Amino acid sequence: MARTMDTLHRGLTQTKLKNSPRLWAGFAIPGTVWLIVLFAIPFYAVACIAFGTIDPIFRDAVPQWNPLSWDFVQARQIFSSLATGPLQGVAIRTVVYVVCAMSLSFVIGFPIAYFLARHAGKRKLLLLVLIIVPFWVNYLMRMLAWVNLLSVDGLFTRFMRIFGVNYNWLDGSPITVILGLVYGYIPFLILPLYATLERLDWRLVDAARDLGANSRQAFRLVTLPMSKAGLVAAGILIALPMFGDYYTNDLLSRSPSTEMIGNQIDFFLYASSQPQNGALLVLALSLFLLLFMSFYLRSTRQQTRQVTR
Amino acid sequence: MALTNQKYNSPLRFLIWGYIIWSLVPVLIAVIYSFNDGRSRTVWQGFSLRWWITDPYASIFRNDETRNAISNSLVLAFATILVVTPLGIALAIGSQRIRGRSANFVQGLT
Repeated sequence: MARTMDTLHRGLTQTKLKNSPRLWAGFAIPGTVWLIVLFAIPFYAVACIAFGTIDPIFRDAVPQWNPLSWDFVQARQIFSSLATGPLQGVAIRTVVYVVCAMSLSFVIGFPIAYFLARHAGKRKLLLLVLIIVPFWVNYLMRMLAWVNLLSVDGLFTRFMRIFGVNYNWLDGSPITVILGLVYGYIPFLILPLYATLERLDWRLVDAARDLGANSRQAFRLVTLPMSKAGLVAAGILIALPMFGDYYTNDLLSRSPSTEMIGNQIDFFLYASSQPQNGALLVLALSLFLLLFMSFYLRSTRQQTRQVTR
Repeated sequence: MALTNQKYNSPLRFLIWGYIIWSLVPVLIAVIYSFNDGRSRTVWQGFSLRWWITDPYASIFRNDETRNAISNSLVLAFATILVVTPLGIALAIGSQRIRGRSANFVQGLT
């Protein structure tokens, strides 16, 4: 059996198959087409609504399918509102919340990934499984579990009262929303970070120590630069969904004082007479996130260049 | 080397177990309270299976609405798996072995 597998393996890797990239390109076609079509068409539809008109009686969005007659008046208004007008507060708040949540995620997540990759020892598998478990529980379920604990007579609220902390967690508190974001997205930071740290060449750190660096210097001058690409990738992986998040806010606060850009989109699309504003905000958010994506792509490209050099 | 290991171990071990408790206990509590013999989600009123099967109208396996929701979830999940798995595996194999100019495009996309 082992020998047949071996021959099969050799056959697969050594025959013409390996040298026929066309065949392997064929494998990638269905998935690629799927991704393009299911990204491009919805995005185009959003643009058509954003630059379209609104039915004067029913206040429904009327998409303008012809790009030549797109109307940019509303777009200009929304963009200036984001920059200097009434939506400025929401835009700033979104950025502040996401930056806070991301910093906290890094402060908690990096040591955990580091410990898993280097010092977990024989418990490694158990710890990894326990860290993966949240992936099996739906995000909304995990948030609802916290809503229960944080309610006025919830277990966590009562537990904190023992220490004299009497805080109304679900009453529009920015702390709750930021912690909720951290709680929801931190597994998506830890796992890729762990994957990066696991593959690092730790002999370089040993070499640095042998050459006289103390542990802090070795960390700052060797470990951090080596894991930079992984840090950027993991950070962007959680930043993208955090920027568009609205259900965390919806479940944990529901207050206008903690509204993020996602809540504004939700509001414009479902509860206002100007659905096209929602579509415009989606476009604005996508443009903003595109900046992050290009940064990410550039850093991964640099990394592969360094590896292949 | 052994020394540095020792030094780093204890606070980080504390942190990782703290994190695991933080991430899992809320869900566990929710699961435990599904066996509560009462309407409360915060006060324990004894063990029962009433929300699971015993209650003829409100338990999830006997209420028409929740039963429908459960079967819908299962059907949709399996349908998704059937569509996504071949597509994803083919794309993964393809994008790993693909060479040339289209490689950058496919890898950038994924």
